Amino acid sequence: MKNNLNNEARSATDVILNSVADGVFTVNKDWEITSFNRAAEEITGVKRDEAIGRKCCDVFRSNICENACALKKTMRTGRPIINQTIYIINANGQRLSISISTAILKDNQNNLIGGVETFRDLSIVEQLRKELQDKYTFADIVGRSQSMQQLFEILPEIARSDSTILLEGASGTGKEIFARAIHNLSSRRDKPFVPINCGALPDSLLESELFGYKAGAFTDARRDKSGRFAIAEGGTVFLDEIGDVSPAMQAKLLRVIQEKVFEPLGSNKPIKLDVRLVAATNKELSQLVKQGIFRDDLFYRINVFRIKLPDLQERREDIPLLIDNFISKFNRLKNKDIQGVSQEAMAILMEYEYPGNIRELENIIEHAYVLCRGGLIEPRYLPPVLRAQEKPGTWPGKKSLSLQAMEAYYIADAVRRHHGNRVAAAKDLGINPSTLFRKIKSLKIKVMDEDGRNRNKK
Amino acid sequence: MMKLAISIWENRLAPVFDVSRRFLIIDIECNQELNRYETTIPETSLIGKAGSIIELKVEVLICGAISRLYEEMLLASGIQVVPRICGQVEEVLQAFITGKLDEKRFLMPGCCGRRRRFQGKHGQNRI
Repeated sequence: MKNNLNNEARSATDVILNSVADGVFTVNKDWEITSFNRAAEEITGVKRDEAIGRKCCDVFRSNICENACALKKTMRTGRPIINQTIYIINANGQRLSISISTAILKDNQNNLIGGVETFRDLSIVEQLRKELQDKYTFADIVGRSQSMQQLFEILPEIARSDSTILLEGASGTGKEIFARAIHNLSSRRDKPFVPINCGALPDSLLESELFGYKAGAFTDARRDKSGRFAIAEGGTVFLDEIGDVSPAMQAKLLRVIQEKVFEPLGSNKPIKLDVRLVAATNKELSQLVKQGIFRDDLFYRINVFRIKLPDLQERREDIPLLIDNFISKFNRLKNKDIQGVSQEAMAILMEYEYPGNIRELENIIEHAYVLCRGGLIEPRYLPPVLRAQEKPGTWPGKKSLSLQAMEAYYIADAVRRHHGNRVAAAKDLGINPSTLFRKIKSLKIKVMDEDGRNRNKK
Repeated sequence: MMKLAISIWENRLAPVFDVSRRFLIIDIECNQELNRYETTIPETSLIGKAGSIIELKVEVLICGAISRLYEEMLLASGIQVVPRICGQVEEVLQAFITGKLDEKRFLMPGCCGRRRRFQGKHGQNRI
């Protein structure tokens, strides 16, 4: 009878805990998890069954577990902690800002038996704050996608470090914009930023461009010419397409990077090098090293920190933001007043593969500006390559667009227009929020939060 | 010889690499521990910490939870990261040497679904 009552009480407690929107877990005096509610599962990405019985620090994984555990403090002092902001690393390796509160647990005889911690996901609040503070642009780089937000976080730190940086990314992903941002955020910002495309120049020209020459060094060298390394003195040299440099030039670059000196052609007087190097490539340098095309010693010298810039395909959710940005830019440059992109044109732009990445998107918008005089950019103003599959009379203008794709477009667009607020988006679309959540999941729609968790229920 | 780093806290693996400072560095050859020492990395900024670990010439890092950005940065620098590991330091070290680190008790809860990037060879780690 007593057992039955205990089971009923436990089951009632579970029901209550699972209906709470905040994450809740309890621990015993050995710091082992004794209960873990549904919201805790959602926020941490850890299933209840896996969490129970494990050390709380291995489940919760917060920045304060090691040195400033709030629950430990509460159990020691008996005083609860309310709304302390910390971060955890969820099962997907994402840092999530959360707010925690703690309290102690006592039995009927007032003996301490453990502690309880409740926590609330602050990601949506952070996201709204970023929206308000226009944090989706950073040093001329635009992006709300998680991959870009992560890069925004580390960019200032990378810039301050003065280390050599290797930027890897396909053509048109914005490698030079990133290099400029690194320079502008660094202590070298008041000195020159000197870009050079190593792949575009033959060896002899590249050598004289980089190192400069003395009068008489070769037939046409009538006067001294400073090289890019000298021009960039104290600043940053951006070596674009480093993977296309010849083996002979690689050896020369290695010497410059190792010894931090260079000699202009025709001179035997070494000049001290004081520049930061940012190199970029659209190839995988480690593969070129394996194939023996690129020197491994040079690779290790320039690969101090590597940043991989994502293709536009991998950050599709940034397309509307990038389009807005290009429209503002071209309105200024071309003195026009184009309001935006029509829904039909947006559907086409969202579907396109963009082999040329952001540069291609910019060219598409620029192309539209030639034809469009005002109002919205319609599908007919887009380049023929995008309209090739267009079938008159069908919406949204692409023959290959399935009903599912159309549905996905409408949902993504509605969520975007409502700044990630799924409930408002569902209302706008005239469907139940739960239907919207289900469709986001089943159609694998990438919206503001990539991890697919339901953040709006709180 | 291979240089291994384990992110530690008390006698356990540090739960979160991003904020951990203590590291046990172990030289291993032919499945035998040759040498070990403990070091503290005072720098907690992402770049500084990654740079310090690179300077230690570590080839493999065993750690607890690690944010994806850190993990990718270390991987890009040629360090093999064995993330989301938990437990007593000595047990984890022995499990690594004997190729048993995939046992459930060493995996942080909720992390089984994520692919581990360090691949063992013939049931044992390549050391």
